[in-house]
Amino acid sequence: MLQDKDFKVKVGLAEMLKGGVIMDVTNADQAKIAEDAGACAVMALEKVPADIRAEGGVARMADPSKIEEIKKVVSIPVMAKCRIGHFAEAQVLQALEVDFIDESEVLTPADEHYHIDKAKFKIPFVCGCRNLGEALRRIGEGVAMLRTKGEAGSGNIVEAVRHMRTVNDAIRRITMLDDEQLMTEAKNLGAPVDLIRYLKQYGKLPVPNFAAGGIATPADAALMMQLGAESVFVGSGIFKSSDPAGRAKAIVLATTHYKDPKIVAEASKTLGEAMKGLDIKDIPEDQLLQTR
Amino acid sequence: MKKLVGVLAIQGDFQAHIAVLNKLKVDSREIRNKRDLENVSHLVIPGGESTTVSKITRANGFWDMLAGFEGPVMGTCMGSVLMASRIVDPDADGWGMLDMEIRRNAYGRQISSFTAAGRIEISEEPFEMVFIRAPKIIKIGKNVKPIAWLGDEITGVMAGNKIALTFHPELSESETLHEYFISLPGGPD
Repeated sequence: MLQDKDFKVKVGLAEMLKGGVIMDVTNADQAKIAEDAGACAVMALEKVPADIRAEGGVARMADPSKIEEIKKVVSIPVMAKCRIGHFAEAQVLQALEVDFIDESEVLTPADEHYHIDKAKFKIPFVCGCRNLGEALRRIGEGVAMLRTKGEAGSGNIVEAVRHMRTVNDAIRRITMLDDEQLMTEAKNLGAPVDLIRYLKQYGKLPVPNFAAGGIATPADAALMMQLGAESVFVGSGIFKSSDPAGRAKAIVLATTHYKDPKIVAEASKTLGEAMKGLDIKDIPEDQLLQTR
Repeated sequence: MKKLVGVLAIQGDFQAHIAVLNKLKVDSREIRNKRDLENVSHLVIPGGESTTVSKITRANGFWDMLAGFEGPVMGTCMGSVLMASRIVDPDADGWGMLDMEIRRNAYGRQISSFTAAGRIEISEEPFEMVFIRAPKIIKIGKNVKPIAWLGDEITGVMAGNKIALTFHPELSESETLHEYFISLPGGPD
């Protein structure tokens, strides 16, 4: 699968998005603000995660007319979310020619047992992960990009940090295992052994891994980049803040210059209020999005 | 001048270029600001989003410094867009390193991205070309020389020590084009 030509074209787009910021947008105006701020892609959805969390009910794929409206106003790639396991929503998104599909835990899952067989699609997919087992199962299903799940709509970076560290620790561990240990490691992680062997050989995932879920400030973006994220997704963090255009620009700058604290400091000045955010401990367990 | 290849690392697939340069055992450096350009002999402009990269580089005169880089420059996909004199869809000015007009996302959206075997001037072997939301060169000036083709279509051009490719040699198995690029003498053409 990793040698497949289609796979190369899919991962190719993920490569092009590295070092950038992908912003959640719900309409054409927001998409334009995101592009003008320097976003490398936008994610079209019905409501940002913080509103999904606040309003409850079933969260579904965005209205196709909204997606078309967004596609019309920007020249950067347009992504859209479908529900976990909802391959018919994914087919619709492919028919709409979005550039990337996020099979996302932020929406209400359509299938509690199975994810979409993503290798079948021509459009590349991204999925969230909390640990290496999840990451490798998603690659086995054909994703071209991974991201941490974090806790979407919380404005709290702690879960994204946990997920990024967990995945990277597990990769480092594999590079130190003997060949005899790889099959058992695959069994324990619930992951394809070929991918375990790949990790042992190369020490990194065969697809880019981005950060998502709780990024609200330029420093949050710089933190995730330094922890090994190759780009960042910002959901509610921008359009739930008091100055979306200013904050969007600042997060873009901080992502590019994540190694330069002076630039991150400069970018962080006079941004007004960040989104309020939630302590993860205050979210009832059955309302966590990451466990979907 | 000692060979040191700078790779513009504002946004895009700069790591893929650095991986190729590492394979070729040539020194490289990620370029994010004017200071990083010091002592750089060759410059690579990777794939990525041209709107993003032009927004960030326009601050502090960085854009003009990149546009005026005198040593060899190789731009791939987005890089070829920025190097052009004229950009179409949406319309904008490029650096004018090469007298050409280029159309962004000319093959369509991601669903129309593809790989195919093309032809390059410097080798008899077919060259695997990876096109990701790729641009098309639509007009070239008389001192700009085609150096890569997919069928009849021009996919790469050169003028002086500047090379623009609409595909991604950094994502294919062959290092031929990078090898050729770093063989060009550093310093002004």
